[in-house]
Amino acid sequence: MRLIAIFFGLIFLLVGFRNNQSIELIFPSSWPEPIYNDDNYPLNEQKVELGRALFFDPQLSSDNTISCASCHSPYNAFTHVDHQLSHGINDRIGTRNSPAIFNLAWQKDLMWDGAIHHVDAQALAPINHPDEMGSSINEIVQKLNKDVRYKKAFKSIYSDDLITGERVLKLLGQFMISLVSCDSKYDRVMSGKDKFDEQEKRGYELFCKNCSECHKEPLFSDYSFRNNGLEPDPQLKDIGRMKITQNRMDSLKFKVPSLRNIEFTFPYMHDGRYKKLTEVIDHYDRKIHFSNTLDPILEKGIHFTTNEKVDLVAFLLTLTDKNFMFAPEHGYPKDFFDQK
Amino acid sequence: MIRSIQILILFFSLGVRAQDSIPVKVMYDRFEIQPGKTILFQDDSIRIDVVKFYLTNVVVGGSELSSGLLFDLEKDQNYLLIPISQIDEIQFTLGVDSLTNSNGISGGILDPIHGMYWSWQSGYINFKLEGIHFENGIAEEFNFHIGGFLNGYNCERRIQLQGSSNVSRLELDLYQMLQTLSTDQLKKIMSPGKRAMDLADILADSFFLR
Repeated sequence: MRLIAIFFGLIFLLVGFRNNQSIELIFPSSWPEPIYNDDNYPLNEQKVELGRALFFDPQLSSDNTISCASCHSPYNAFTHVDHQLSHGINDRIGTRNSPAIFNLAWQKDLMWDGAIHHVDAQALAPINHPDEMGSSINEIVQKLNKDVRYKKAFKSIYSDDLITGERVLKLLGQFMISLVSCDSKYDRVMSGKDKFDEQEKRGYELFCKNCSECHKEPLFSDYSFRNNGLEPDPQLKDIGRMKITQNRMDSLKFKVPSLRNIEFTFPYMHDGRYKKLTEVIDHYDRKIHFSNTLDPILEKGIHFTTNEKVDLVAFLLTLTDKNFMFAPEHGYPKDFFDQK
Repeated sequence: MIRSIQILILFFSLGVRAQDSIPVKVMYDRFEIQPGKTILFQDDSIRIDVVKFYLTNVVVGGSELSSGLLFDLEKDQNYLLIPISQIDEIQFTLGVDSLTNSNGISGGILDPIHGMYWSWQSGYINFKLEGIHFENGIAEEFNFHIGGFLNGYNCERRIQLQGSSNVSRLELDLYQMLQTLSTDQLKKIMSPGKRAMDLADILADSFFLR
């Protein structure tokens, strides 16, 4: 009986150590509490690491060419630059500009139209989309179960080496939730560690007066769905949020994106129609397209002088967080993929 | 040591209750549907290729079963394991409840590898029916993917059925569901919404203990 007690005691200790690597999100004390509830699946260092490997693994696409990171590069705050619309396997073009991935723990609904309500379900959308990864979670699970690197990694985290759809998706969710961008010059100014120059200061005042209702600090979005006056693209015919809610009042509404790291997340808008920040500001100044669901804030446009536009851009550049973009723990996990 | 093992065996055996099983069948009017087989439908015919659905939160004899069922017409057998041999009453949810949906992804029969989770939006597909309707010499596909739990369109349905002493199976009769093919233009319902809610109501009235 004593031997059995020792045996179960050892198991308890091993499980205890394995689960003892839980991590917490680090963010400024002035920020609101995250919406993401990790009570059922606490953030864990090993799981985040394995989620990162999956995020960078092209095996997640049908022809092993496209990984999540292909359209969500860490060096661009986890989005895709140069292309208006994200492209997937066989150079197929999607219908939307890939959104930047950071601070997801503060977002209730994900994607431009809020189609996804939980981060663990997020990856299924690009995995299944024929113009993105063109695969299925079933196909991925079959591939990964033949990969000794993953078998070994799963064994070290779970009590067995079984690779299931649930585990793969939750690991990807762990990595994405761990991505917190909160170390820009703006953040350092707010915590008293730095100062805006005069131009940035004028830009911040303009921002607070004209932009902050939708791009609410400190996350620089209220993550609501709004029609910001973009003329609908006759080719894409994208009705936005209405596709999900089937409510006409949601027609042409898209999620307000965060302005954090905006210097590196071009092109802009859900369809990537603007390449430069000045084009975006010009849109609000004189290109608002009127429709039934246009946000009332924009009915008269938002007008800036030429100098004000320059000042506003100067402020927006203070939202760049290079420590986030170039953090080694967010980059390609070479050690994992170099394993024999 | 041997005595310790005996105690462990006794401990585990006490935890196991005698179990019975009740088969779950899909019917069209009194005929059991077979995958890929054509059935007569009004003056024409129908071929059913896919029937998949969740029965969850199953309560039999006052106690909830530890697991539900992902019915799949392709499987040789579909049955619920029940703790008693006689069913006086059974309650279950057709689909996945909104709390489980809210929590994201789950495992086991709810693992998305089973193809019952939407990818273009969140949520489990509660019920799938796919096939071909041959009408006046024209073959037309139909796809019904019933689900959704948000924005006022919650398609889970709680079903309660009374049994008798000679219950031998749980049946889903697709007769009423398939009649919609002759009255509706829309043969592809693959989004949450009012139409999916109406079909969920029809399905909720289509289960029987026989």
